[in-house]
Amino acid sequence: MLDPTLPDPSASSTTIPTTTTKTVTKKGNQQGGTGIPDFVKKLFCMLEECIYPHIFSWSAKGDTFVVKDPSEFAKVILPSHFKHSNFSSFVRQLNKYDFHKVRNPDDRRRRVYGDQAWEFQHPNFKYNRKDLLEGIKRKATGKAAAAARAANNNDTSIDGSDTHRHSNLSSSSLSSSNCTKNELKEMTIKLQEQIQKIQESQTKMSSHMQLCDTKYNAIVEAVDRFRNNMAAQETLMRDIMQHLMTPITTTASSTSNDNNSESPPPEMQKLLQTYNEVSRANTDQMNRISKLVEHMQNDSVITMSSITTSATTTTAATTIPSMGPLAPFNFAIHNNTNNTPTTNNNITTTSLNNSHQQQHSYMPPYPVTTTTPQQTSIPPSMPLKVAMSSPSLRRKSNIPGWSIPPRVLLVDDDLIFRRLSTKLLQVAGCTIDVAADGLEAITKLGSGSYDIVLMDIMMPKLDGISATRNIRQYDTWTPIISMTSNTTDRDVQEYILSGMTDVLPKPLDQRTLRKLLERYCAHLKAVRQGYYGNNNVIEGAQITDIIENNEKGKQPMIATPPVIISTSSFLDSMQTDTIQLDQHQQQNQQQQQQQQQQHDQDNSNHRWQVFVNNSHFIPPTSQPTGQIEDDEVTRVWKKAKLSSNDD
Amino acid sequence: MSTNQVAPEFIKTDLKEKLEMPSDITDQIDKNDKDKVSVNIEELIDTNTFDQLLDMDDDEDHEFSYSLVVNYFDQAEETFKDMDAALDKKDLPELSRLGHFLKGSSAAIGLKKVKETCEKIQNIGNCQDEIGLKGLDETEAIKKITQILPLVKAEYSEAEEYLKSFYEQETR
Repeated sequence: MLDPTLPDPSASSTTIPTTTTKTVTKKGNQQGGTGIPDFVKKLFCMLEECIYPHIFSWSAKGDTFVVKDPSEFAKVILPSHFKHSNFSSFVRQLNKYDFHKVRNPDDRRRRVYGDQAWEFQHPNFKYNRKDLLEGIKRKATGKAAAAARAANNNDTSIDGSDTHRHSNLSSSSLSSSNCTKNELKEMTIKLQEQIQKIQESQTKMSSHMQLCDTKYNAIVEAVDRFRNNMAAQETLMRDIMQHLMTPITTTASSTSNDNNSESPPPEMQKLLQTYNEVSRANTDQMNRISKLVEHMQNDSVITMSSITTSATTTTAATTIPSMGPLAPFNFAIHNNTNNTPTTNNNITTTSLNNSHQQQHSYMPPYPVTTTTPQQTSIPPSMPLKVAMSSPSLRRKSNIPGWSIPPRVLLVDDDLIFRRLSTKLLQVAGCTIDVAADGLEAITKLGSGSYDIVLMDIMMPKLDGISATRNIRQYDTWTPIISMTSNTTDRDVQEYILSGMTDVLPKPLDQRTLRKLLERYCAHLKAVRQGYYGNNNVIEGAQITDIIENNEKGKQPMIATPPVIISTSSFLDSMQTDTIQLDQHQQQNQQQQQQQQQQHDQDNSNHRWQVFVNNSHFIPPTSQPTGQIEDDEVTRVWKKAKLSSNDD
Repeated sequence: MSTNQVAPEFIKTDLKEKLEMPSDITDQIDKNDKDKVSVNIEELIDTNTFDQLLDMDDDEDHEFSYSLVVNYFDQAEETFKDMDAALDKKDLPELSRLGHFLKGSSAAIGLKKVKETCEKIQNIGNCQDEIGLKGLDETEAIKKITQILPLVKAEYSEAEEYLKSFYEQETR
């Protein structure tokens, strides 16, 4: 930025004495600009005086002057007029005043003035032309003055040459700083704009997600309702079947006394078959639905996790894969202080608590908080959630029926068959105990009670028939099913005579097994549905209690600062579902205990029924529903029973 | 005694060599054999039962069903040994029992042929002929079983081969 033509104070003053002269000269120039420079005046006077003409004088023409002897000139003349004795300084001065050295290779002149002679010329420096002297201006001075004046206009300080330079410098730096300032300003503006745009897009996204969430919730609700409807239909059908069965079997048994077979008449069988098929189809459908819903939830979990990984801490995210099917429930990103989950599921608790704590301590740019609560339907979804709590549980509870899993005693000498059947039964939702032969079976039955016994016929030590006979001496209620590949009529008769309740052909087929279970463990289902009188009330009450508790359990969520990522409503429902799931599990356990007690009670009812079937009496309607009065058949039966007791 | 299954192939290869049949015809024969083999699988395994077994596997590596099948292999080989011993002792009831026993587990896995042959053994052991009607005397029974036992072993080997390759494929 420095103007090279600026007067460099250090350069302009070669020696200290002349500095003052120069500055004076400059100042003079600055102030007036039209006065004759002192140097020029002095020079002229020197030439006019012409004291030493042999050293220093005008030329012949008078338009130049000559220094014939520079050394003498410097020694003698210069000191008397100037404060130095330096010829080169003198020459420099002359140059500054635009004097030019004459380098005329004019031999004549040269010879006239000698080899050392220096001749200087200026258009305005002529002999006896004082008037022209004003024209002699300092070269650098003129330009420098102009530049300085120009620079001075930008600056306020006009204090000599130093300030000029400095002012120029500072002005340049200021403008440069101005530039950087402007640049920074622009940058910040741009960044702010960007941030704003991002925020806008984020709000859009979050609102979109909210929309998706509501839709999804609606779908889940619909699916749950559908499932519920199916279950209700199921129960209705079952009830109908039960109602149907008893009158028909009574009529059937009454008409065919010597009918040894346990199976109800063909029409009944058909009805049973169709019913079972339909119910199976139902369960399949429900299985599919549950699977689908689980998949949907898993997917949503994945997407949610990917979105919110930035917002959540890793702990919450890592609990997801470890929990497997429970993942949807554990993935809770909530800012709720009220909803402390009252669970006995430790893992759920810790993960939820973790997320709670994390949420509190976390000050995110994306505050992941909840919005107003969404009251998603919980009671209908409860069975669904229970169903999805674990794969094995899912299987069990998706089979409409087992409130208590049937306890099965499997008697077979073949390890492979035992393993296979065990697996089949597990899939069907039962708990299994095994015995390798008849003796072991008797022992086990002596020490425990089972809902159903699957007895192989050909076994070492004690075969199936003998074992059954033995068992029937003290146990007439447990259904004993023979498993065999010999299913000729004669064989079947033999089995029934020994006390077997039914025949199951080997190899085991899952469907037949299911049918069998449903038939002989119907009381386990029926209990839950409340088919039996008093039990119905209790069961119903318990179930409604659960529902009510869960409703109450849903505490209102605190409305929190606006959401940026709000899969919250979905997560809310998830969390509440988790809580209810856990509560339900608790209730379930209690329920199971109670049902176990009732189970034993019901066993006696069932025993009676089975015994009656076995003994070909007219069976009563198994338990008064409270609605059906003693009908004709029952009266007849009661009479018969009384009379038989008298026998 | 060569079993029915072995004989044709043996004869075929012999014939091929002896007659020096041109290659295209032998190719035809081979192709027929291949078709036969694929058909044989269907006869060998009852897909319904076997599929049901596979269904019970929780995951894709068929842990449960494979372990069951391995159990079966062990059991079958034990049973064959016992059968050989019983045959030496001419113990027909034992043979019948063993036959019944192996029949059960073969049926559980779905090995049709083995099961059928085991049933035969069971019946013969009971001095019934192959379809269960009484009427065999003991020497006849022993003779028959002596014939059948190698057959059932061969069928078992075939099934074993098939199952092993099946699981190898599945778990690859």
